[in-house]
Amino acid sequence: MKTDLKKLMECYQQNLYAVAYNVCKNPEDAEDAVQDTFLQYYTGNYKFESEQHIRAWLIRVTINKAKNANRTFWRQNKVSLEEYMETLTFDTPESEHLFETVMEMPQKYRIVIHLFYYEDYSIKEIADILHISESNVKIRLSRGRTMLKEILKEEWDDDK
Amino acid sequence: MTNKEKYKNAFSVLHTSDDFIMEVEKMKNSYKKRKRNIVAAAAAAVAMCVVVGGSTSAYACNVGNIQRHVQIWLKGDQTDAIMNISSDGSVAEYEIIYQDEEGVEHTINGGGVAMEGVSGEERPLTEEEIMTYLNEPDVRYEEDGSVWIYCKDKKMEITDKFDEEGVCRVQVQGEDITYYITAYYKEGWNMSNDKFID
Repeated sequence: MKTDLKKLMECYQQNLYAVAYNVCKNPEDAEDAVQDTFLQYYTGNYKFESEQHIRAWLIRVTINKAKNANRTFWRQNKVSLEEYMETLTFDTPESEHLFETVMEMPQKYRIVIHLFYYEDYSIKEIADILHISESNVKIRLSRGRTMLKEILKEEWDDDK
Repeated sequence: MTNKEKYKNAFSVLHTSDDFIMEVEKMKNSYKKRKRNIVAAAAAAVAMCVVVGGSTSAYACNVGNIQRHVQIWLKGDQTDAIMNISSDGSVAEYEIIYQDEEGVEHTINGGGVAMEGVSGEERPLTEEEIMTYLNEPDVRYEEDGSVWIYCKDKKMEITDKFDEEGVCRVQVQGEDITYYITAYYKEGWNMSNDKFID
């Protein structure tokens, strides 16, 4: 199956942007990564088994493109996390604190945290998307949660 | 509120810009146009192959010689130089002569051919093609073990960016082109305009 690009963009652009920003921490690079991903979907001759397959593919490609953006070392118009956060409107100070704490974590932890808590992916699904082992995902998730708990304290519950 | 709800609430503030979909549509249309142009130009396809080395051998029967005062980028600095191009009708050889800050003269030699059309007929590189090649990114392995990428007036150390297998992949953004560089620690490097080549 292959879904119409416009429908896909309406469905996934915000989620993919959140994933991309989570990886590269720069709004323009994140947007470029998502646009490039949609263009690759449009121009490529891909066959997908299901809507979930498309979603996982889009997320994986977006992550790779955002990582590539990180490798480009003389990017222009780089916006710092602090500058970008000033443009965002958070519902509560706790939300802002959580956002900032996640974005200060090392990339390998925060992407696993993001896929688990934002995209609702299981450990196995995250392992498939990131091409790492399930045990590696568990370790990163556990360490990520520990970091969050240490900084956020009572703002973050103990995960069972 | 669960941790997932808290997390989703915090990250729901991230949104693409208003013209996001319009930009993708533009890229789509540009892709379609480019694809048409490629089809139209296929019959007159030109493939270029640049061979660079330290060869200093002179051609016995030069049919063309050009000398130009040029500015080239060397390790991030724009440097005045004299470029001599000689050709035997099939291969272009160039010689770049420049002086460093202490007035010591240095010479860079290289050469190249272009293969044209479906028959792959060879011709010497033009002056413009050589200058384009010379202004592309360069990877330097220094004596102290550090590795640097230079692209015109920009430079960056990539010594710490090699993985366990000694490979480093870096995307370099030029003025209107992206370079994908794969460097093998002290074993050379390669570059492409559309993907990393291993």
